[in-house]
Amino acid sequence: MTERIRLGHKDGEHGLWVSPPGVDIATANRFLLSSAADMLKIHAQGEYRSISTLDDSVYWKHEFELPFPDLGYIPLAIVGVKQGNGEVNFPPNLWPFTQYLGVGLGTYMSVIGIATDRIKVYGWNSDKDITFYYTVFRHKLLDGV
Amino acid sequence: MADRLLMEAGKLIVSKEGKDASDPALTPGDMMFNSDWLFSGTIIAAGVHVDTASYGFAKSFAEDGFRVNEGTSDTYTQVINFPEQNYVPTVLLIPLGDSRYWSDFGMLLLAPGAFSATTSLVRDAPITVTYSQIIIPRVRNVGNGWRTREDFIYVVMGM
Repeated sequence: MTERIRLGHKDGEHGLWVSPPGVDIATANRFLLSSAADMLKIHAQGEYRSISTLDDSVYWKHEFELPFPDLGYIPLAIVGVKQGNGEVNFPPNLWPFTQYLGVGLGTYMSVIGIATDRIKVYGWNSDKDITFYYTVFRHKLLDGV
Repeated sequence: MADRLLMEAGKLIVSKEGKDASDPALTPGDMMFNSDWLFSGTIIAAGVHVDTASYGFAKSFAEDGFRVNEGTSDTYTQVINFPEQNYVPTVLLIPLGDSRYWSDFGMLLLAPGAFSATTSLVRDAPITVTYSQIIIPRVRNVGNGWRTREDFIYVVMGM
């Protein structure tokens, strides 16, 4: 029978290892669980539907924050965006939020950012109705900036 | 009090608070870990990669926006190193906006990938992953030959 779980001694270390289904712990080159490796832990997760009420005849303004308990650092977070076509884009296609200002002026885009305690969205988009899906992990990317 | 750990030959389950790990009706949402899963969130590395290439333009500020996809005259390929594995891991890259503007907003800023900006931009070669590196050739403007600076969030997963 395949040994998949080892609590004790392995390769000179003490710890806990679990190999993937069908893989023996002695020959595994990756682990489902390893006390020697970090794992993604979810801090906050949710969705937010933004229905804009302010437009400039072409673009709709979307401005909202997705707060989460302050981590004291900027965490790893992923965001998916669903627009009018009904598809969720991940990583999000943020080009609809951009404005190309011309040669030499560069490209500017609205703010979509990750702070220590929130995800912030502030921008203009051709869709009035947009839904954001987000997951914040307890993994430090940066000190607060 | 719920018994949240089940460990027997070839099987390890850790259930969430209030759920009994030996309950046969346990759903995946009731578990923190199940040895039958194919992936459990093990990561090799995750962080922020900031491009070290020179800037084509000085920093400027727009009240409601920030500059992305800065041009550079540098052509070297970007490399993100991670601890060497004996397999090629799955990697997630999330494009970021120019890091010079992060402190103005007090946060790390996401941005569209440079490659999708316009058909006049092409990457010199595909992005590749090896046992220990993410190799990111630069995006080039076909018209004027300028390359593009790119910053990323990277996640190297144990799968």
